[in-house]
Amino acid sequence: MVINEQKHDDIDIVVLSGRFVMADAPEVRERLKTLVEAGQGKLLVNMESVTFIDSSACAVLISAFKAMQLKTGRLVLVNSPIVQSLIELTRLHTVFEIMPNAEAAIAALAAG
Amino acid sequence: MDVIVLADRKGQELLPLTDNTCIPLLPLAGKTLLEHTLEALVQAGLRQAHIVLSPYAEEVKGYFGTGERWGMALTYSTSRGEESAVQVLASLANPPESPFLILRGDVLRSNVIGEFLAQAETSTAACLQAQFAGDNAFMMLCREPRPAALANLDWEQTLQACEQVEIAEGVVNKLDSLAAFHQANLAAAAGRIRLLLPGLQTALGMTQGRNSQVHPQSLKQGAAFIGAYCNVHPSVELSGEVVIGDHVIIDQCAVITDSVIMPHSYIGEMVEVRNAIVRGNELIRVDSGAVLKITDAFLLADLNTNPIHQGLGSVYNRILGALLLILSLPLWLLASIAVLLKNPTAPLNKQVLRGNKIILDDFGLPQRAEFVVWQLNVTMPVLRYLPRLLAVISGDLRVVGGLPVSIEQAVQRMEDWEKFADQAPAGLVGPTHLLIPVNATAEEKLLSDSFYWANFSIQQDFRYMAQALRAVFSRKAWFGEV
Repeated sequence: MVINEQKHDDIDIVVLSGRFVMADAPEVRERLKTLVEAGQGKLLVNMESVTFIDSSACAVLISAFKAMQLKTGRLVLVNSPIVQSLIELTRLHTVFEIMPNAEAAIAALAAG
Repeated sequence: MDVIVLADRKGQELLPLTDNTCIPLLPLAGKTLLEHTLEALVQAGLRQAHIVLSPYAEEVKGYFGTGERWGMALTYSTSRGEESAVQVLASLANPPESPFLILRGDVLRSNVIGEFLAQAETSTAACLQAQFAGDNAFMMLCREPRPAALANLDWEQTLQACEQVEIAEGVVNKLDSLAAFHQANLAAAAGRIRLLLPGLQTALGMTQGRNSQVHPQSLKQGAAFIGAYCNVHPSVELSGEVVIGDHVIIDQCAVITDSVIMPHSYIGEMVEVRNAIVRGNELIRVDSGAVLKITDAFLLADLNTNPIHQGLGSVYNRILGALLLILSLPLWLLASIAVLLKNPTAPLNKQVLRGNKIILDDFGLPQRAEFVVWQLNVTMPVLRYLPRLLAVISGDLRVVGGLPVSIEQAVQRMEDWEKFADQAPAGLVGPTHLLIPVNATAEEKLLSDSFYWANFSIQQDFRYMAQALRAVFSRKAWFGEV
């Protein structure tokens, strides 16, 4: 699992790639927590290159989402098809704001 | 022409009908609501559509698939539910090419799409909105990618100025209340709303679905639609306008007047139903909105069985539990010695958990029953949870399943995704018990159960059983955290 952090104006971007599973959860949890706390309330988690996620990974995303809600910020996901189908299967699409690609997500976050 | 169908209503207005399904899958005169929308599109010559779903998205996709059965090519995406149309369009991987038709697929329409498109051709406006009887018909033709007036398609509308086309004929019903749903059903049965009903007219005013047994003389006056696989006793009286869903049984001398009987319901002997919606053992009064739960299964009953614990699966689990109990006898001896050495005064802890047996509560609603289970007061997890084997034998737990929780924990699960994990049966072992650390967050445990249930298969259960047997000989089972 590779974690890459980027910044686009006031938007924090985390690009994840590879398998996002239980072993990676603590590190991603910590990185997202730091970004939520220190950021401007706009976070994009780009998982276009993630090949698999498990329940621990989803729990990390839920935690980050809840932390962002407390800050009245916005967390947007960009998913690969396999991640999207797992998220739909567990009905998490009713929670997360999901965009089709990074450009659309940045545009949505920039628009407020 | 590209077509976007918004079908992501959350369905609060139609509760309790939508408490275990979504509006697109709600049966209306023998077909699901979204099916009526697709048929209306086909009638208007539109053969492809992109559908935006939210609650029960997987079930809707499973039901409609690629749309071949309806002569359509369907694609799907999801929203968080009742999202604004502007936002939905922005989140599409393949935005529609202008001009495109965008409409809500979770309202009922009959014979209006073709007329709207024909009228729209005479105008060059960038955005045209359909109006029916002076009200929003939730349908637009857009000649630019994202006009502001799209907000008029939001379920929570924010009205924007837009050129409007008044549709003179046909029907648009928003289905925004139980009364509207009831009326739409009756109007479909009576032919006031022209829909393609799945059945044959077997008598004047009576349309009957396949494999249904009903006598024409049962219809005393008015019109009736009877779905597939129904059994209506010859002495039953149907009058006014009546819609009976699929797989319904109506017992002798029952009288049904101006009512909708939802699929899988049983109406008992001499029961009289008037101006109501019946769903299983619930009687929904349309005039007052009152929902009465009938506890006497001889009057009204739900013919849908709960899959958690019915059938042979439950028996196999209990037999397997007994077998595991016999195999674990040496461990019980070891546990007795350990507990007497460590905590001779308080060898057991009591726990009350929610099991898999189904009971009816005071309102006649099926609920998972609580059960008492004892834990041995020892540190070794493998010995500590031995008494749970007894709960497998009693049928309260399955051998493999989700993590058992207390009723108090279960009632805190309010969100749709949280409730999904609740569908998993509680088990003695499972992925959450075996793979998730004891100190993991509640969300992680809940999602582990969700994943287990979403990917459920018997083969997978066997794999978890093998994993659990291996785990008995692991260091974690004897010296791990509890």
